[in-house]
Amino acid sequence: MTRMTMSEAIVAAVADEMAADPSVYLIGQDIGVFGGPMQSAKGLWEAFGAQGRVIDAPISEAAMVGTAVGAAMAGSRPIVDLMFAEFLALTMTPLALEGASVAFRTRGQVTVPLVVRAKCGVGPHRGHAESCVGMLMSFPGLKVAMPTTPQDAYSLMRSAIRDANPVVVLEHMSLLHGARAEVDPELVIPLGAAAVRRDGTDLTVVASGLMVQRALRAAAELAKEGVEAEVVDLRSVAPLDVGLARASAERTGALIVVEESWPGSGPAAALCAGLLDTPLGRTGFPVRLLQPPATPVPFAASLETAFVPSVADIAHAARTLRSTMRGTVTA
Amino acid sequence: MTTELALWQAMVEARAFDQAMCRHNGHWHEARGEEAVFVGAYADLGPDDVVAPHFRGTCAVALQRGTSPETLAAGVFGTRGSDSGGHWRGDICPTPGPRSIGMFSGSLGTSVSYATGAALHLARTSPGAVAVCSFGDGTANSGIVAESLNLAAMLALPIVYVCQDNQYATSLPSAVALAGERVSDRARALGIVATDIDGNDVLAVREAVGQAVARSRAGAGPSFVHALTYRMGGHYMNDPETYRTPEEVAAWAERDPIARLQQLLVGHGVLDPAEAEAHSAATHARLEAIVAEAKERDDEEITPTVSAFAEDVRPELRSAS
Repeated sequence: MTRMTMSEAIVAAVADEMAADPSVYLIGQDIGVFGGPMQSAKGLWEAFGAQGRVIDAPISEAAMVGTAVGAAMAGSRPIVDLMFAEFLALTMTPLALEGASVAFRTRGQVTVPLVVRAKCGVGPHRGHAESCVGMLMSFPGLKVAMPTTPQDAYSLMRSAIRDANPVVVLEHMSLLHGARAEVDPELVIPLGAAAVRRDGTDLTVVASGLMVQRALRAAAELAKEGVEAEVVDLRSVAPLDVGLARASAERTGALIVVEESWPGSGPAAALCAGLLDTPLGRTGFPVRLLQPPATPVPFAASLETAFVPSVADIAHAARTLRSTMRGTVTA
Repeated sequence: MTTELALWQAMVEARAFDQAMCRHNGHWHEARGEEAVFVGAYADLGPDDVVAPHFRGTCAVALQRGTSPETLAAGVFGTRGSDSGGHWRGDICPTPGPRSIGMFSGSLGTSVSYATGAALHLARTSPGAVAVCSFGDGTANSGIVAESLNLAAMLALPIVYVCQDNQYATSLPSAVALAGERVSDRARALGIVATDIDGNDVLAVREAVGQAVARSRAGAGPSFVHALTYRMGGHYMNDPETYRTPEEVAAWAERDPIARLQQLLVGHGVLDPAEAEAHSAATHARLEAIVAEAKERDDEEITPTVSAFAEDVRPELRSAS
């Protein structure tokens, strides 16, 4: 057990897999002596660079991912450090339209065991906040993980590297260099499994990425008012753990889905569609969505702050939903 | 090394399959006239080498590497007997495998990056093995091709790029669309050894690609071969071909790659003219029968696959973690 930040845990997972499996290599911009953007590859150049397994790449996102798809089909297990999630849009044909289709199209004769790392979300940088999560979720065959704790970051990264499918690991920039926590390298966390972060009885808040942290803070506020919110961390948005979200909401009787991603397509929309997939086509509990408006992420600090759901927004949504429900019952 | 007679036979078989498809499949993209490029470029590779042919000619390369014409025809028609069990287009992706790259959508250019990545894998795991990747003059203008060539040069990867320049990207002439004097100059600008050859001369193609392959096997990095040929048919069946003249097409018919090699072999006494005609007629009849038979198989039931995840398609791929 070692105490690590999320960033350190991800690098440790990559290093452990590279040590265990010679077919793993890493390619990305500035991952050589520079150590990776925001230290995303710290120490890997020193450990594996001489073996040619850490490739410092030019600004060629499509070819970085395209060559990784080709190497994966041939037998390697590449990891692409794409720097920022907004660059994913440059890679969608090889990654999603084609790479994620290979297993289906070949009936598993050829697979693409590939990991793409991308830093996402609002954070210390001014800019680069577009996460493109919904875009990724639109393609069958692509998995998307979004860890929020050092342990999950370590375990989900190892699961991603071992997976037979292309997996995008979204690394939230507001969480990467947060508090250190114990990481057990033996703990296996499968892709596609959500986790309950806080038990509650009065309503369920489902979130991903930074929104999990804010939901937990909102739950602490609500607890002072006697409202116990259960907080579910999706951890993976594809596959999406609809079952755990449904079970929690059925227990508490109400659901708020909080997302930093755009409305329209994304985890919230996919979760709602999954929840409605019942024999009668209804949930049995009210559902509210808390998401940014359908605009690009604005630049001004005040506008960016207003764009993303805040702790106060989440607490307010919970109170409103509860009072509406009481109104419904008495009406 | 493949004999000259075997090259001729491979070109005859390629054309026989191609022409049978023209008769039976309205969605086929005819490759007549370009056989010297794809037969010559892939003739002398081994089982450890990676092949990534251009879609126009990819079935011929699969034939050359041992896939049965019955399987290939089933792939083109999308029936149960195809390599993908009807799950994907066999005309542009006939035999996908760890050493055989096809197209996984209609997008051109990405397979060049896949071949480059396969070469990176070979460089790391199988010294001496190479990848050969061909693409059309149209695809040469795709951005990912430029990115891939730069990466290959930067990492000295064992790959041979073959530009199968049939002079038209659907309707746009390469003389218009390929800015600059020669498309091969783009490779030279990256420090990649490049040659420009007559793509209707199968012996010239084999020689140029063979030298490039030898360089890559020796660790000297990528090469680029620009093979100028001509697309005798339309881009697709029933292409009105309003963008070129019958005279231009007729002039290129004079340079037919199969007739040229046949003439040479007859001149050298390797091939008897009557035997050549008989072999050619028999090959065309054989493939006509196979393709016609394959077309009738479209009523066979196929079990649908309802997940795109690898472990759902093949449960033994479920992660060991």
